[in-house]
Amino acid sequence: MKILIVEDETDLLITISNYLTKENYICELAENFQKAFEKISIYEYDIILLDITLPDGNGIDLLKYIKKKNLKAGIIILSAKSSLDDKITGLDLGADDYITKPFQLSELNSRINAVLRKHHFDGSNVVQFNEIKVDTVSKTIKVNDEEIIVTKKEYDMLLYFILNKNRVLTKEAIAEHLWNDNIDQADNFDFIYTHLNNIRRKIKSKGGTDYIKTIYGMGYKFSDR
Amino acid sequence: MKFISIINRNYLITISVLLIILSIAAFFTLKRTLTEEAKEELLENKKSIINEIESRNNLPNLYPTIETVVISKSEVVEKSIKKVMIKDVLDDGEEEPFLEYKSIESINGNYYAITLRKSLIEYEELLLAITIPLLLLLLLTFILSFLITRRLNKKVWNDFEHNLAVLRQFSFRNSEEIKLKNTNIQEFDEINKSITDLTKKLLVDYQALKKFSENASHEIQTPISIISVNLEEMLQHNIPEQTFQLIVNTQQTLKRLSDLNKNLLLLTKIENRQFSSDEEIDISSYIESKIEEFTPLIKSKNLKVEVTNDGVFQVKMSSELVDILLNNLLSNAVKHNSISGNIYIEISKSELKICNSGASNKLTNEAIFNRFTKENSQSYGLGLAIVKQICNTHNIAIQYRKSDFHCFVLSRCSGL
Repeated sequence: MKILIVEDETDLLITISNYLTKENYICELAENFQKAFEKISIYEYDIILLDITLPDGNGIDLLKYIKKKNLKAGIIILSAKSSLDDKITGLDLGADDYITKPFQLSELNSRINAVLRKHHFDGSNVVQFNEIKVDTVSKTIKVNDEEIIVTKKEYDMLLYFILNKNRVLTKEAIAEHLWNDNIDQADNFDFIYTHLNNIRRKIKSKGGTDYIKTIYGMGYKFSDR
Repeated sequence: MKFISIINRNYLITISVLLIILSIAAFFTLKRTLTEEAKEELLENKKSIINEIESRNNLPNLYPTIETVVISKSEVVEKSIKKVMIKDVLDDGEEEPFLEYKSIESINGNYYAITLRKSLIEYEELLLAITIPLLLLLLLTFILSFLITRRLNKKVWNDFEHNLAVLRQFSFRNSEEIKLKNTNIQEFDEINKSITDLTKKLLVDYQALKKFSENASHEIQTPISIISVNLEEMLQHNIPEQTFQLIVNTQQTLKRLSDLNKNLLLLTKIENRQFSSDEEIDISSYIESKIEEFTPLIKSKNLKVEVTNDGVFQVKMSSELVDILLNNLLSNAVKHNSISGNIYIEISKSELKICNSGASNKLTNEAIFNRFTKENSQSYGLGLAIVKQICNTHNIAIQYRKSDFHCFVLSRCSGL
């Protein structure tokens, strides 16, 4: 999968690119409008991460250009603006998603995956991790080819874990992904634990392995290592 | 006091004083003139009497107007002219004012005392006959001129009042230049020009400032993103628990910083009325889904939520703001609640009431909505300030009531 990252802040650009490379994406970088424009004109990408505020132009104009040329790339806007208006403008112009800074890399990964699945759901609608298969179209989970019944939150949580396998995810990051921003006002994140335990129990009931490891009681890691 | 009233009042006072002084002056001047006239007439009469005595040696006597007496030389009669009161024998015997002239004349070697009198009654009548119409005329002139001035004033100030209304309605938020009516009065037009220039300049400054704070807020999010992303990557390494703890703490603090920044930006945007609000929204329909969203928090504190629906509470507000409003109120009700506490939500046509149990605080109705009023360091005290600001800009009154429960009551401002 080829990703073009358009972001004028080099530090952020490099960190995102390093992370996505580790996640087996091929990353190309553009730190200004001109470069991004050239790359978009010449090459094809599966995903374009687009910062709106660029030193020499507006990301929205790039978005319009991409849509005008009918390029197939999925577009995720990275913006410092959190207001609904900007979001709606971006999505109306044909962006697939809109992520507000600051964001978690694991969250970005989840969103990229969702956009990829949306654009290429022919055959790629199953996310698999060993004996666990998540069908993202029917929203069902199979363990050892047997379906387990999960709630929407449990489904979202497991998919998030699998997409971010081998990564340490803090409770805050999980809560933010599953619920909206208000959740970070919680005094504790015990309610995550409840959902987690349900998933563990359901997977084990079909003979699956518990891949969810607790890290110092502050985070979790989905891993078979 | 209105400019016109001051002018009118001064005008009236001045005119009244002037009228009184003028009438008194007119009265005395006239009186003096008439008395002079009477004196001259008496002197004329004296000449005729002297002539009469000289030529015909006839002493005319006609009481009370003419008295002529022969006197000896030694007799002293004062020469005088004065006003006297004399009983009129012809009339009903009442005393009447006369101007009396006494003189001694020597004619053909004899001395005569001549006393001439003239009745002043007709003069006084004449005086009144002149003074009263004159006064009335003056009064009429003043009243007319007062009315005309007032009408004129109204016309002149009309444009001014219009411009004043425009000024009152002027808001930087509309970012429209002020348009004042041309009054064709030099002074007013000069003020208009000054105001127009001033507001133009202020508008530019205001927009620059707004842009700056908005940009600053946005720009802060980028370095925060870098820190956040780097912290996340640090967690992926094999690190001891203490370091892990420190990084998680730093992440939480960073999140607070970012939220604070976002909320300040939001507050400014609400203040600037940058949210369009043409749709009527039924708050009750939002409450259910909001409670749903908060379920994990509500469950984690083992809270009991009761919603009473007695009507439809409608607000004219953008859905984004409704979301923020309910979010902040509910999160407040959850955050400051005691374990196994209660949340009561009462919705009626005129009111939305959100109450929660919880430890008592010292905050008053005013203080609780202030920015950065907080009970613990975990919050930054902007949530309720945002709620208040949203209410203020949407004609909703909000009140904090404290009894057994902490209640926030939203009600629509009437007549607006």
